[in-house]
Amino acid sequence: MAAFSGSSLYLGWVWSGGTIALHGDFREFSYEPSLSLIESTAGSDSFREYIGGIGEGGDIKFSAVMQAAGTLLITACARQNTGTLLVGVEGSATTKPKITIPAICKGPAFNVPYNDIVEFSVGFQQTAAETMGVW
Amino acid sequence: MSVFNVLNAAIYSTLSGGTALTTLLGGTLVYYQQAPDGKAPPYLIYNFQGGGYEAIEPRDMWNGIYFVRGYSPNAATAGSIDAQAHALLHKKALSMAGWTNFWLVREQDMALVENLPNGKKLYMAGGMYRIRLSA
Repeated sequence: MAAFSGSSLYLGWVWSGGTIALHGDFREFSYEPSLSLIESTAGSDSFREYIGGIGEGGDIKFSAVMQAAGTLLITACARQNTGTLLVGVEGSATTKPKITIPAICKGPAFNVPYNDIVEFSVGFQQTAAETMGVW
Repeated sequence: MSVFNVLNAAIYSTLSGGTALTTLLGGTLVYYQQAPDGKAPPYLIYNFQGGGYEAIEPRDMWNGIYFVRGYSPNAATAGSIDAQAHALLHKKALSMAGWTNFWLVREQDMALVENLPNGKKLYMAGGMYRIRLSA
């Protein structure tokens, strides 16, 4: 086994307007799924105990270097757009891990420093269970 | 893609195309790294001072410093050469194949005098220019 960097990321966004590869100029991507927990502590338990409840949609964050005159990202990641994220943290070569995540866009955001590159970022909210598979 | 040849050519083209500058110099006396042996001033020298590639996104980006300065036996003339170079470079965009120059800003001023072996003085005035490129 060997470590690998984030530079291999594949990130596709399939929405009603088509499919866009988001990883072309990406800076950061994070996905953190969650789970509702049901407390089951009882009686003389000395430690708080839980059983698994229902899954919770993960918070998904993505940022990229904005390209001059680029409107494709803004259009594809408009607020309320729904679709599916295709995530390959190690790229999209055959047998590499693939995560398929139904999601909704929270809308584009921009960071505009005077003396540095302009960054685009967008948040997604997971709307149904993800599928773990391989490419 | 290596930066040096295309960037040096772009800087030379920009500086040698400045008629107010070349009039001050008495010709296109614009040189990379050093003037020819025995060349009498005034002239302009530019060189790569430091920097390199930035691995901050999948697309190649480059961030470096060039030192551009005028030399003259007269301090005021050296300053005038520097002023013309400043006017041609500061907050301008270089045109170069394979790269987009999205940031070109003078960051630091430099001036000094050299006492030559023949007893004469050689004045220098110039500045450090930060250059950022995106492939």
